[in-house]
Order: sequence, then C-alpha cells, then structure tokens
Amino acid sequence: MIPYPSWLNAGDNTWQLVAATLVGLMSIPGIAVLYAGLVQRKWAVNTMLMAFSAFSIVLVAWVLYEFKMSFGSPLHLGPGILNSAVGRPGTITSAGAETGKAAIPLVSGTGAMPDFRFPQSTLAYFQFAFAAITPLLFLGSVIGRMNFKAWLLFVPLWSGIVYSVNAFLLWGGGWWAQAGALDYSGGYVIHLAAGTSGFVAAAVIGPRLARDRARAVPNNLPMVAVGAGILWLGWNGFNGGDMYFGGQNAAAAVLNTNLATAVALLTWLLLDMFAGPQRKPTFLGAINGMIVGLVAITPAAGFVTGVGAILVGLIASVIVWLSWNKLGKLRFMQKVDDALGVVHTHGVAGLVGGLLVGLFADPAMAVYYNKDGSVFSVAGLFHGHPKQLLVQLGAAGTIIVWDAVMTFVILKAIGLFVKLRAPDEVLEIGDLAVHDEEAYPSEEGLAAVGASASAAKAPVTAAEPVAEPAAEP
Amino acid sequence: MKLITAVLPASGFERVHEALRTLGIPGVTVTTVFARGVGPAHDEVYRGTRRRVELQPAVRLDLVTPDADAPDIVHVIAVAGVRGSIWVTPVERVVRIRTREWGETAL
Repeated sequence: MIPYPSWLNAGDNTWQLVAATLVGLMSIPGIAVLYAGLVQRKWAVNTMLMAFSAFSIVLVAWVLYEFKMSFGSPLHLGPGILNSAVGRPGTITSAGAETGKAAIPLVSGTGAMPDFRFPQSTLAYFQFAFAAITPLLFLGSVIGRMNFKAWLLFVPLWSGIVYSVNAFLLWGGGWWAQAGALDYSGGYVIHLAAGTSGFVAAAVIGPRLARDRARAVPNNLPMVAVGAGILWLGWNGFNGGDMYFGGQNAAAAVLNTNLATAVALLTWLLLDMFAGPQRKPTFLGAINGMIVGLVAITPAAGFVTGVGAILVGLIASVIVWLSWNKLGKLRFMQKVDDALGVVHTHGVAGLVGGLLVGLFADPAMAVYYNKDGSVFSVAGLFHGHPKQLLVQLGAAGTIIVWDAVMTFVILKAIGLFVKLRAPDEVLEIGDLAVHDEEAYPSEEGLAAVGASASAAKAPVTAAEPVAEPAAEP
Repeated sequence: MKLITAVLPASGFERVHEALRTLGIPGVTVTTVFARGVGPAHDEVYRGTRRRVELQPAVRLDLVTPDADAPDIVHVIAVAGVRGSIWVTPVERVVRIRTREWGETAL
C-alpha cells in the first residue's frame, strides 16, 4: 500500500491545511471577538452570532456551487471581461472532487504556476476560509442595526454573486489575472471588496440609532486584544499560504507580513502621540494600525522585499490614519454609518496596498522557479515595469464598481422581502430583543420559568415571626 | 442612631475603608454606583472619537452608628477621603436578624 498518490507532497499539503486553519481562526474566534469587543455591550452577542452563522453559510455555499464559480472553468458570458469573469457553478462533494488533484483550469499548468501537489479538498478549504472572512469583515460596517434575517440572506447572495467574481477575476485565472493584475493574498478580492461593500451596505441599510452612534463605546478592550492577536498571527496562514507551496516564497511572505504590520502599528501609534487630536498613545489606535499593516501587505506579501514591506506598512498607515482622522470626519462620510470604520482599515488599506505592489514588486523575489532554474517573479514600476501600476488601478476600479453596484442591487432586492434594518424598539434593547441572550448576564434576580421551574422552587419554611419587644433597650 | 452615607470616588475609597477599620467600625455596606460630582468630568477617546464621561464610577458606603459616634465617623471619613460627599440621616429602627437584637445593641 501507499498512503497517497505520487503527485501529492505531504509537506505542501500539511502546510496548506495548517495555513487554511490559521485563516479560519482569524474569522472564528478572531473577527468574532474583535468585533464583539468593539461594539456596544448590547450588541456583542448579535455580532458574534452573525460572524459564526456567516462562516457556516459560506462553507455550505462554497462546496455546493461557489468554489467552482471562483476557481472552476470559465462561464463565457460575452466578449472581453465577460468571457472570463466567473466560473461555471458546480459542486465539489464527490469522492473524486475531494480526493483528486487540485486544479484551477485557467491557472494550473499554464505557465502561471506549477501543478498543485495537494488534493482539491485542501485547495477548496483553504480558499473557503478566505471567502468566509470577507463577509465577516464588512459585518463591522452594518453591525448594530442590521436585521438578522436579512443578514442570513445577504451573506450567501453577496458571496455567490460578488465574491466569486472578485476571486475568479484575480485568482481563478479570469480577465484581470490574464492582464497581469497582482493580488498576492486578497488586498482587492477580500479587503477592498469588504471596505466597498460594507460602506455601500451601511448606506443602504441606514444608520444605527442616533443615541447609539453618540454613545457607541467599546465594551471589552481585552477581548479586542485577543481577537487582534489571533488576526495578526493568523495572517501567517493568510499570506503564507497563497503561493500554495511550503517554499521560499511562503517564508518571505510571512516575514514581510509581520514586518509591515509592526511598522504600521508603530506608525499609527506615533501619529496618535504626536499628531492626533489628543496627543496620546491609544491601544485601539495601535490595533487599527496593525490591521492596516496586515491588509496593505496582503496584495504584496511575497512580491516585495523586506524594504518594500517596511515602506508598505509606513505609507499605508499614514494614508489610512489621515483617512480615518480627517476624511472620516467630513460630513459626507459621517452620513454613512460605517460602524467600525471598515472602509478605512480594509477598503483604503487594501487599495493602497494593491497600488503599492504596482510600485514595489521586485523581480528578485522568487515566486516559483522555471524548469531551467531561472526565477519566476513579477516587477512593479520601480523595477522597470510601469504598466503594472495601471493594471493594478484597473483591477481596483473593477472591484470597486462591481462590488458597490451589486451590493446595492442585492440589498435592495432583499429589502423587498425582509426589512434590512431592525425596528427602532429592537435597536433600543439590542441582544436581549433579538436573541434573548446578553453578553454579560447577571445572576441577580433570576427565577426559572417553564419546564424546569420545579427544580428551582425554593422550599418554603415558616419563618419565626420577628417579635417586636415592648420597648427598645 | 444615625445612617451615615458617603459617596466617594472609587480611587479614594480604600483609604477611607482602612481608616474605618482602624477605628473599629464593625460593619459597612459598600455599593458601586455612578455619580456626578465626585471628580472632575473627563474625556475618553475610543478610535479617534472623543466623549465626555459625566457619570463616573464611585463607591457608596452606608453604615449605621449610635448617635454619639456619628460626628467622629464623619470626621474620619472627611479626613481620609479626598473628594465626594457625606450625609447623615436619623434611623428609626435596626434589627440584627441572626440574634434578633434590637436598636443600638444590634449595631
């Protein structure tokens, strides 16, 4: 007997499954507790349940039709970009689909990358974790008022219609991939998409209660620390897994990811201390900087050198800090209630990172090796390939327009059947009204009701009456 | 008998409690409350948004004492504390439930 076929490489397969698990942990519990800690106390349960349910919905949709739409054979819908914008839907539940060799029809064996050395289920699960985290990210934009039923409908529709096109265009060998657009690990497919869709969704659904917006302080900063830490280290799988092999480029991507993140965190911290409105270092500011660094290096991770990673972290952090503190305070931006500021930390950061890869991509960074031993790599404007920046701009524009328009259309369609925003009286109460649960329940004053009431019935004993003495001593 | 109530900033409570223990006051009831006026209003800034905190966490301390001790206890709280306020109200009746003692013997 042999344990696995000769095309399978145990090291690559192991790394890919570990990386996939790390990315999954970024969603649950990572994003779930990060957001749950950032929202008002009364919305923590709602936030976590939306995260866990979206994670589940996307997995089911993923194996039933979405993986094939993102990474399958192209559906020819027309000329130009329509010719390869999305894959033909199909399931991946058969034995062959799960244990057979992984392949992306337009990419594998076309000279763009070597043949996979792991089975399709590894590729599908790894890519599922990316598909799942994207709705969880823009959950931060709509939290605190979105109707839970509308969320259950929005996630599969958005994921099937919007995400699969994003992924196919850039990773599935679609039109922008053919044009040479670079997105190492999802600066566009995930973060620009989440920022754009979140902002549009927040506008369509409407703002939180005015009173909530005025009083929306986070309820648990240590929980934010836990979620943020899981995100950072989970990103080792996010960016370390996207070359699909446990090789030199994965290692470089992991180091660059951490480097850019550290620089971005420190940059935001120093900006807060010396240029911020209160001139003080803030924990939540540093966490914003951290997220910006992670997001901005995502499209560039294995394409840039360490110097490039430092510059990406620095530039992205400064730009998003300005976006957060200046642009975000403008009336136009205040009109849209993007509750956790996803448009800045994911949208702007993903866009900046995607454009910077068009500048800093260094051909000396070996992505793969050709048969003759020469290096397969990519180059940006500063390395003699100015066209790369234009391609990056074009791909960003496509993602922004497609995601914004379709998010609007999907929500308007759902709105015909289900209220997108929960009624004000529910919003006043929060978790208790939506779920009959709260994040920090009190034991005081509880009495069991219903079936288990008898168990809690306290024995009634006749108390000795307190006799009042005739006269006080 | 008198009920002495003090509302103190959370940060200054421990010194007052220590002083009362030294004085040998047997029982106090402590409640965490929110209060305005126990300290200067301050701002908190989360994710770049500044908000004024007008109600601050404070400690409310209640103790019942014989009439004769009340002025001393008020004095001790006032000396040991830094901010906050104290007020004294008459108490009609006290019962110690375990022993069923009444009045000042129950204190």
